[in-house]
Amino acid sequence: MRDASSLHLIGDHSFLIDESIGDLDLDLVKSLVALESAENASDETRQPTRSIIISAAAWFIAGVALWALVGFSI
Amino acid sequence: MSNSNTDVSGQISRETLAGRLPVAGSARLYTGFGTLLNAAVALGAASYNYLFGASVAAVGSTSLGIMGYVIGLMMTLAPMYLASGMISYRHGVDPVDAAKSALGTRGSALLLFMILITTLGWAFVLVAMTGQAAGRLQQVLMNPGGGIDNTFVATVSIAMLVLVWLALRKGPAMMALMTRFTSPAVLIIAAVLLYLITRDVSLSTLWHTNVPESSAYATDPLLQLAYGVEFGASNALTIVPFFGGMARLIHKRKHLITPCLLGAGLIGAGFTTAVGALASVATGSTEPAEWVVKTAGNGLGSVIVIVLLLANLGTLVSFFYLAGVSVQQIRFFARMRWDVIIAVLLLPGVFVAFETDWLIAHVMNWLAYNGAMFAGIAAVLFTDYLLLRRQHILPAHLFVKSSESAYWYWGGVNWVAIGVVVLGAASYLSFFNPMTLEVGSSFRYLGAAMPSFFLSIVVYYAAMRLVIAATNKGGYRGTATLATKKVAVGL
Repeated sequence: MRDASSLHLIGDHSFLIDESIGDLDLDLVKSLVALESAENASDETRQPTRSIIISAAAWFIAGVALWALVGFSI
Repeated sequence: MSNSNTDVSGQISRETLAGRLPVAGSARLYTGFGTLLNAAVALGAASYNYLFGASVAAVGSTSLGIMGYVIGLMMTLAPMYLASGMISYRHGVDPVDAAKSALGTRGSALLLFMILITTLGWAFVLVAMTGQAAGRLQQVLMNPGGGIDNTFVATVSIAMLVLVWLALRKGPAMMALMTRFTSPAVLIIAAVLLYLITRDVSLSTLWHTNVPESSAYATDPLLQLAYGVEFGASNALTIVPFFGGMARLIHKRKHLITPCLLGAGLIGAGFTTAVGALASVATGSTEPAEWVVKTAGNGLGSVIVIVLLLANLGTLVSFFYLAGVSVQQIRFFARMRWDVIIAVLLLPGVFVAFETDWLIAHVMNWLAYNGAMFAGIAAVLFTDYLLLRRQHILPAHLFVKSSESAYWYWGGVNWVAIGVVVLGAASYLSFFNPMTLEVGSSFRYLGAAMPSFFLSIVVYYAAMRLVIAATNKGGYRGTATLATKKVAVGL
């Protein structure tokens, strides 16, 4: 049996944990808490994704334009 | 962040990279353009591209086939990256976990199934091709005029499996290290092969050399171009199950699309396939081990083929790593040690080693349907995260396995999404049959992948708007309340 007070999860979190939690699931809870932490919230991966979408759209439009260009030229 | 949380991050970072646990931004493996480009090249460049090259040339116009193939990669890869990689990139989760928000807690098993059969299917085809190419080399050098030694083929195939296990048993770090060497090797070899086939005939001449009309897939230039585009698009669609696994290891936003598209698409698949297409019209042969030795001579040819075969290791390691992470969705595997999981996944390869002809003949045919399988699922993932949810999901609910999950839908499955996946496949096959190469009337202007993708987007968006208006299913509404709800999570 695990003592829930030894889980060292500081601050508010939205996880139901009891002494019967297994090691894998405890690791998962810790990972999810780390994911929602202030440090990770300011990480680049959580910033607005406009540049990603513009980059993808540019490649798509370039491909379509090339197809049209080659298609019209043959 | 508190000190204890920092400690937690450090403590589990190694484990997260080898397993299913979400990877926080600071623990991502790919932080530089070059490392990621290498890994992407390894994913896109493999020796089966030389076989695809022969198909690209077989459209009837080598130049239109190659141009179409590259165009198909360009226009299809970027939407596929958005569809399959955005949730994994933002939250560091495995693609199957990411898909739960759209397909449902249990419905995401469909993606798991597709990932396993696709990654393992392609990986075993590559193992078989490596064994056969080594056998062909041995026959050309030591037994000219004789047959291929099947025991030698099996030995090389099994040796490849052992090398993959040795490389992967410590997690993905060796994958990054290995692709640092194998990716440039693949490109150097492709460049050397290009030099060899253009030694006697100029590149311009080869570019305008076509297969005989009688064996061409089409004579209409627009249809030839469309076939090329569709082959590229079909290759791009196969990235759908793989890409989330790579995206969750990428750190910078500017690296999510362009290095992956350049590495896996234009350089990895595009360049090597183009070399394969030119080689097939130059030599009339589709077997690299055969035409390399013929063109370069026994000495240099043997060295090139051996390096080519060893370079396949980079692709194999990437495939088995992604399959190893995904299979941990099944709790039986989640409890296993990482090196044991990899060993179990490699085990069917022992059968493959002794049945390489059968595997290449049957599995390659089946894998031709990848495009049909992934058009609908890509549309569902794209629409759900980017259009319906506006990029807001609840990562914790991806790991809730009961009806308490926001993504439980109906019995754990979003049947609307499943219906659209089926619609996407039916639509794709109505435009293009990848086995018979029969096409619909609009194929020469639109291809098959993109119309099916966009049709699926429209249908899924409209259907889910009705669902959202009528029910509380899927966690599209009341996300602030759901975020504070206490839930029990598990792998």
